[in-house]
Amino acid sequence: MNAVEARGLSKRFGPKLALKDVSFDVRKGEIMGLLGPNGAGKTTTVRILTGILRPDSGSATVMGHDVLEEPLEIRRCIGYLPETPCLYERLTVEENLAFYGRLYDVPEEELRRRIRDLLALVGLKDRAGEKVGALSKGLKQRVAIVRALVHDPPVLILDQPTSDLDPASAKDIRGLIKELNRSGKTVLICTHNLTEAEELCDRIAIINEGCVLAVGKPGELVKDLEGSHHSFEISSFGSISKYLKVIEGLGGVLEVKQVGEDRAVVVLEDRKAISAVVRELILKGCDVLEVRMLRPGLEEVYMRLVRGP
Amino acid sequence: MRLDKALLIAKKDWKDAFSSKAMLASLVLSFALTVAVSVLLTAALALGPDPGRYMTEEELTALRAVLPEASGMTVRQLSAYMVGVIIMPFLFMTMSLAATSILTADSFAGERERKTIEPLLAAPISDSELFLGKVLASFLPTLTSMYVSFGLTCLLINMLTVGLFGCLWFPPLKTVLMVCVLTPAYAFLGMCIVVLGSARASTVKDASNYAAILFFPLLAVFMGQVFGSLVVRTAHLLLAAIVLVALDFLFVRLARHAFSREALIVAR
Repeated sequence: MNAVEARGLSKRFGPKLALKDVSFDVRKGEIMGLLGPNGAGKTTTVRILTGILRPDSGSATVMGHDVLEEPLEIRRCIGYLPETPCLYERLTVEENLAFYGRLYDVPEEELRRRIRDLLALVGLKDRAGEKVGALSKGLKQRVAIVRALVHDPPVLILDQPTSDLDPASAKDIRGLIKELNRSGKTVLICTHNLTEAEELCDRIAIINEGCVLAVGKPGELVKDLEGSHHSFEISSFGSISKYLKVIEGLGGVLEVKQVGEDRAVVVLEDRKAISAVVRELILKGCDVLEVRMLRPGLEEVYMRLVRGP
Repeated sequence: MRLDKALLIAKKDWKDAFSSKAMLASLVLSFALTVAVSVLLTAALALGPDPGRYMTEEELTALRAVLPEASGMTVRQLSAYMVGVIIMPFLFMTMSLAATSILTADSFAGERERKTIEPLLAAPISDSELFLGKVLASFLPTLTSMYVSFGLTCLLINMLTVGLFGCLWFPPLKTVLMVCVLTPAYAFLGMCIVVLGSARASTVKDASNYAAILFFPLLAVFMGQVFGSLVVRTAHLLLAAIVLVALDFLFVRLARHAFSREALIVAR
């Protein structure tokens, strides 16, 4: 059984179609990324999964519970971190967490223990009595993560957990997400941060204008884009321009582009053909300094899917 | 529906709201002023210059017609009685709506403005629990403050007028019905309407406008009695209490249909 299953979700806000037939699964124990630009439909998708919004059509389940039929059960299974921390600033850290723990029916003694342990996990053990309003953005985000964990849910839905954070705080939060995943939590994370998606996610669904454009492991998505073409960058001591004509005529060479005085990119049908290219360059007197295979990154996959080829 | 969930939300709102000293002060001050005005007015009429000097015989006849149960009273007693059954209940009713009107208007609109609403909507609570929690957050502090201040008013008025009436006369049944039954029932209904309005309003300021509408029916009843065109008898009050309590129950049941989580989260 998948932890989350979304099937043909569509949602309209007035004239705007926010989601069009969105389908994807999140397998138990994995970190799945919903990757897309602002306004792509990521937040609408997770709001449907948490039962805040109702889809116009389609269905979704979380841990086997239907979002429309069993909204209360769904909410118990999910630890939700919205885009902003959404904390009560005039209440203390502990009061915020205790309020939500009680809403989720966590027994009092267990709740006190969990709050203590989770605050220790995020490095806020000594800040329980402080008003949330006095904390920095990074610390508020940590408190919000603890709030999402206080009822020990099997699924975590994190909407842009590191947006607005400084690099050090963002790194800490990413480390925490990995740790939570290792402890058995299934994580669905919305992000437009490619580095974050690549670093954290086992699989990614790229979403734009309310449509899921691709789903797969980051490596698979890159491989799909790579297709049957292989690019190499060749650098030389001195100018490379006079040797380019030589390699253009070789078998298996699809394209040769000079990208600098001493560098060129060669696109090959078969990557094994690079040996013949390098041998020919050396024979013609080119002092080859470096040969590097150019693999498209997730960024290229994303840009090509979102902006077109 | 679980009342403990609704109370959890209400308690959270109290902690949040009353951590502001200004909010606590406005609640205490509203009812302190109600007590002060009621007691001073009664004391002035009961102990001050004879009120009969300022009233014509026609005016006295009109007042006795509005308060038929006070036909045997002296002018001084009648004046104090009028404060107790017409002016004071009106003050309590007005204050019960006004004292926490900001808290009521803030219920959902404030959560939306401060961006705290989303995890609350994602928590395992039903629409009815969420709605009732927000209403109770305003209603219970109002009810408590009102009963405490009414008790204090009764004590002070009896202390000041026991000599005039020769007995502990306050509160008469009409006042008890108006302050202890009708006022909470009307306040609850009013708070339901404002909370529902707050769930649909974009800002707290917009939601506050709903609260203002609730004062007009009160004002109409008060003016009707003052000008002698409305004679309110105990039976009328009992009937009004039954209707209002029934409306309260009906409103809470119907509110969940009018209440939309989606409307709370979708930007306007």
